[in-house]
Amino acid sequence: MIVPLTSAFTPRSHYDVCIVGAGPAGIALALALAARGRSVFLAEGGDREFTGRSQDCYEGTVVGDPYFPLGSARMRFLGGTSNHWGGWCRTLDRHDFLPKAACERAQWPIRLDDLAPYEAESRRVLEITAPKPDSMLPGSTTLKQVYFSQSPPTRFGTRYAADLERAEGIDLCLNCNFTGLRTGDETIRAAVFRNYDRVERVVAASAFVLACGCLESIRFLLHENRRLNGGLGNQGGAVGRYWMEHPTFGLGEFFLYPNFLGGGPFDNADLDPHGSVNRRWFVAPTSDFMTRTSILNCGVRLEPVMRDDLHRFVADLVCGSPGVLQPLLAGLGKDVRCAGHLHAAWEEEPKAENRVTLDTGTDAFGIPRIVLHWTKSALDRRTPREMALAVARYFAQQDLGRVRLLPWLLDDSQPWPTDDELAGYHHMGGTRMAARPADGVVDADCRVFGTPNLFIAGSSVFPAGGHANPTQTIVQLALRLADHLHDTLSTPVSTAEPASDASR
Amino acid sequence: MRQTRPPRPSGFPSPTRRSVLLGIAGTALTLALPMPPAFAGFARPSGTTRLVEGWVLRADDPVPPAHGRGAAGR
Repeated sequence: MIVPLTSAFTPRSHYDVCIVGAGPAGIALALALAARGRSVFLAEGGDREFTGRSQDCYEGTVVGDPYFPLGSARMRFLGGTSNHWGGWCRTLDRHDFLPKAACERAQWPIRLDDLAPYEAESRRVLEITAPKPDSMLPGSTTLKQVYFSQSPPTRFGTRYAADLERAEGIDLCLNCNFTGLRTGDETIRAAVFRNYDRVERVVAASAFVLACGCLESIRFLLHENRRLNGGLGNQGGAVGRYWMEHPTFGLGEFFLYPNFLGGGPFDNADLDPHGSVNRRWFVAPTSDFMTRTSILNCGVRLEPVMRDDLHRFVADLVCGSPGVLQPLLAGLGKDVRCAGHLHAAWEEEPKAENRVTLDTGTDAFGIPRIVLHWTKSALDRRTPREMALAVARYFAQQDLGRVRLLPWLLDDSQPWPTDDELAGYHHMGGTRMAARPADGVVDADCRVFGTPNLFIAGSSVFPAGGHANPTQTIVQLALRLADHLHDTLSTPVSTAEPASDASR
Repeated sequence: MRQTRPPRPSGFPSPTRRSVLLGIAGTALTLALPMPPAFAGFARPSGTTRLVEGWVLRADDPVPPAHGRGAAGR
């Protein structure tokens, strides 16, 4: 059932699992648990639709490099940030899970094979088909062409509202804002929720999951550590640290000669000009190339200019560097049939200094707002430069076309552009997964170190981000967590209990 | 009468006689060659590239040497 938190609502006396947050992770997890017969309390701080009073809880401050306002970089109502998601889907690469020459810290304690069993189910949840398999670019030993799937995109709140309403085991409570945990004997006994009129309910469960989005899960864990004098996954001091994005910037322009269109790797016929994802070609490095050049993962996007604008675009390119392009085009006697922009989104180095801290101001529920400290490093600039040079050399060496790279990319003394995409709205890390408490916040099962029945679902557990958009990995992790919880909960599958005042 | 500077082109730059002839010859050559059923390789692979005004070019690209600065090949 779906019910607002009012004085008329009474939760069951006990649930198998209490999930904080009804976005992609929380909803996928709740439905998977209910399908196994588990009882689930699913708390959504917002309403069915956007409200300003809910969204205000997401306001915060950014310190460091330019970044988006935190109040608009995510959504706080049923369905969470899927409500303004673009729908890009891709699983992480096998080498994303392994230690890197450029940064040993950028590794997971699990492997791709641990998530692979959940790939098909994640596609069903996200309403996508499997993408074309990656393939090496012809004539290259360093670059591969990679593919994404395109979700409608799935708005989890509307797409799964009927399923949530129907599921006997799920109580989805709206306007139900998490305000704290109640502990005992190193375990969590209950979670406390409040609506906007200060009506409060206490929910008891066997296991608790923070699934409220990367920054919000960090905020709650930081606040609970302050309130409960530490101990919640912060043995290594990692709560809030190693936060990551996918830096996303334009790298240059390219043009292609006509004789390689039609059957080649960059064929206009392969593009869907009306789609949001597949109107581009994507190139990524092999793991050998990443090791040799000491970079992290990087997805280069070749975005063709549409046919109607092609001549003007090429003319502007020629005017911009006539000494190079006029003799090049005239001397080769070649027409240009395709030209466009080179962009990239890449894996950011996980750094302890990139972190979330608590501010002095609080939201409507007395929980401190956040300060996000985000600065890009030398490695964060080397990664796109090495990849862009590799792509440009490939174009030239194979006589496929030519690429011009932007000055900031080739000259470290120039500042980062400030009028570009900046990042992907992909919040990752802050409660990173690790093999031991000294290195992270949750273990390989997403369990908070030191607290046997507290878990985190969502991209805050990512210890390394690859270049792929994170949503499919978030859903894979949530489905895996559902299996783990179902298998390890000591209580047998429960039946729906009558309402009780005991939990008030 | 003072000659005014030609306007900025709105499409491709005006072709020279040489580039038109080369273009016709290139097109004729392309049309004369059989189209491969699938992508089968490239015309003239070359391992050396150089960096000119941000452009990553081949060593044999017809760009005046004065424009060259730095090498992009490794």
